[in-house]
Amino acid sequence: MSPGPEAPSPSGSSAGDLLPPEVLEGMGSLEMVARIVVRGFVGGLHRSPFLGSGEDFSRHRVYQQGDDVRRLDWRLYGRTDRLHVRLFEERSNLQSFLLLDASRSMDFAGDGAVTKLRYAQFVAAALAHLMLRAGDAVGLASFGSHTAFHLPSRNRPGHLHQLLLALERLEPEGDGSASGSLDEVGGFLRRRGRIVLVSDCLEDDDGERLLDAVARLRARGDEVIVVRPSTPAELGEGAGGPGRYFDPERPDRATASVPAQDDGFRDRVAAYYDRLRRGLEERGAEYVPVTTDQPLLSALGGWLRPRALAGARRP
Amino acid sequence: MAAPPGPGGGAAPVISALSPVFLWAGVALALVPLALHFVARRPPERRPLPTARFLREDARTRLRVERRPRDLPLLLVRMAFALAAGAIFAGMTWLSDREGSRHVVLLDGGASTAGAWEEAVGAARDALVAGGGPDGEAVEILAYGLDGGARPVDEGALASLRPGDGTATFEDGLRALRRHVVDGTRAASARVTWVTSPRWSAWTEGFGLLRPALWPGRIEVVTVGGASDEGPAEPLPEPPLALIPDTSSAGPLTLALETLGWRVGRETTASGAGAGPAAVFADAPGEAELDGLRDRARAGATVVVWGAAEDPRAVLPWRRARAAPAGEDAGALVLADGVTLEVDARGDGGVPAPGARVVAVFENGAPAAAARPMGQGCLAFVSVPLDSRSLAELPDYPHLVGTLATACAPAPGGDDPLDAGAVAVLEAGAAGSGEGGDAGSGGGADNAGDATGAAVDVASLALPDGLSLTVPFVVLALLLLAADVVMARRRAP
Repeated sequence: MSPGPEAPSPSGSSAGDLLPPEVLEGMGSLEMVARIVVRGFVGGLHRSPFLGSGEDFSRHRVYQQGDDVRRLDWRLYGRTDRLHVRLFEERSNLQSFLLLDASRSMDFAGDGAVTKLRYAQFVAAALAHLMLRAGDAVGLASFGSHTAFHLPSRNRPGHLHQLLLALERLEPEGDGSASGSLDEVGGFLRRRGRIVLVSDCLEDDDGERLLDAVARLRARGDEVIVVRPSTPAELGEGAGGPGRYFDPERPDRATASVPAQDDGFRDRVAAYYDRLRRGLEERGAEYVPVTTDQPLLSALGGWLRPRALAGARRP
Repeated sequence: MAAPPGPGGGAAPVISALSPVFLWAGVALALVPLALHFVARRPPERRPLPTARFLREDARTRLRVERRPRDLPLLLVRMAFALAAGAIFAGMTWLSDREGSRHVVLLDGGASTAGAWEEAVGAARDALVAGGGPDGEAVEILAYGLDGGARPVDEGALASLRPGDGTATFEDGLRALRRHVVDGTRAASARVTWVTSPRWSAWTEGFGLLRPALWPGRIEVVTVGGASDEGPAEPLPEPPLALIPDTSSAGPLTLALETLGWRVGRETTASGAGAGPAAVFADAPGEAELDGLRDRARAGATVVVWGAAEDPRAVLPWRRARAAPAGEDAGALVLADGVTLEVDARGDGGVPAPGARVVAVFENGAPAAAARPMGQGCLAFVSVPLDSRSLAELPDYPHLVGTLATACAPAPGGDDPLDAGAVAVLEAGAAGSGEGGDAGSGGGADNAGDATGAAVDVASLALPDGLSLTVPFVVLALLLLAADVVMARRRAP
């Protein structure tokens, strides 16, 4: 599910005016960021975008003495003149993993105030808070030169704090690929779960191995969400002047160019990400493209609110 | 070196460089960073971009990237620093508002020109009327040595101008010229015509060395008063008479005097003053004879005495030692003009009398001869036997005799005209250069229009009123050096 256009905040003001990345950067800790973002998002909503603890409605039954009167369905009584109670099906908490791309390509800010990795940390902090609040167990892993498991998937007092601390300590290094890390994280999930990949998805093979890994996860019944932070400069907006440009993960390969005058640059980047989006959607994954100059509420709200209103997609 | 005239030909500031070669060195040094900036190629700036794989390399883009301008401001700073460094060592001086060229007619108003004053004024007027030569330069007369010092004189005042009473030296003239050109005019260059009667009396000690420093160019010298390098203007009178002792050993003395152009006679008696011997030679005169010799000296003769004269009244310009005459070898005999005679005679160990002038010394510095004016003549004493055969056989013996015969005469010069070599120094500023061989001859007016005096750039003089630019250039160089360091550090690697 792709995020729609920028959605209004629960208070009615434009979410785009709230909490730009540079403001979040100035707040200091991710814990503060997470709380503020979550508070700004969930206020006014009756349902979390991540359904977790509690029960799902199953059927109606005629009221019997001793039933919990809070479960009486008065609407049905109005129609039938008979008292019925609602019965719910219990569901176990979802096991989730946040997988962050901490490779060198994420250590790029362009002309913005924050790097992609820092923005990813904001996103992961907010999502972790929301998921834990919804009762899910959340773990943390990252990949750069190798896959690193920082925290197991848990939901207990103090876990959010530890997760945010682990997020804070992430440093960019290496030129790893997401596909292998997805397989490793999937192996950690004992049952069906949710994997949220926060990565710029710049893969060497045009993302084919990434799509294959997503397909394997989806085949197991795991929920896969890909949040893709990019900078405007990478997408061809406000491109730079003359120079020898190089991928931080491939510093030996430089291209002498003037991006602002390379007419096809933006289209080629857009085509790559468009192909990736189609591939993910075909495999049933959610694709959330964000840019580092977007306020976080605006970036995630367009995706999370419809999700909250419509209910989580069942695997 | 001077700056060109300002726009419209008006006055323009002049910048003087004491050592222009350093300016050229600065220019050459400034070419070094220019060459390096063209030769060295700094790699184009590397920039990270994770989506760089989607860029396409364009040949034209690549060319532009690799040949982009390279730190032009830094290049200019470095070139300016090199020029400033050259200016520092060149000794730049700022002279404001100098333009044009002047022709200065330097008129000697001292006593040496007094005898040909009308001729000198005429020569100056002729030079003034002749004008400023092909360049149309302004002409003016500067007279020095006048009562009241040096001052410019216009043509109308020439007729009433009178020379001063004192002797004006050549050095006075050049200093007056220099002051006038530097402080009294705003000319950028000047040439000089010097109207003077060149005499030794105007020549000061060391003038030969001072001349080019005071005025570094040639000067056209217009000679007045008939002075020339061919010796005295008046014909010599009859050869002077010298009386020698009537002894057989007077032979060499006779020969020496005749070689010098004297008539030689013998005086058998020390008679009183008579007409005219110019010199009298006496060997160990007695007291009575010495009185007679003294009278001759008073009458105008130069009396030369040697030997043990009886001189109880200390007439002679010599005081002998009380002990026996000096026994140690005093070495050669050295005259005042440097001529040396190897003598085996020994002096008597005496010393000149008070007020006597030393005429000759021994090689060890001991006095050998002295003279003292007496009346209209002179009394001289020599402590070696003047008629000794060994002395008489020396080649410079006649010179010794002639020196003693004119012992009280003034030093070479006085009112005598300059010789050709001295006139050459006056004209060209270089002693013995031979360049002035034709100067001074031919008289004044004929040379008035002949521009043999070259124009001298005022900027070439060491002017006290110029503003030294060394310190400002040092400050500028330090600022440029600081800018170079800052700009070089800011360059992207």
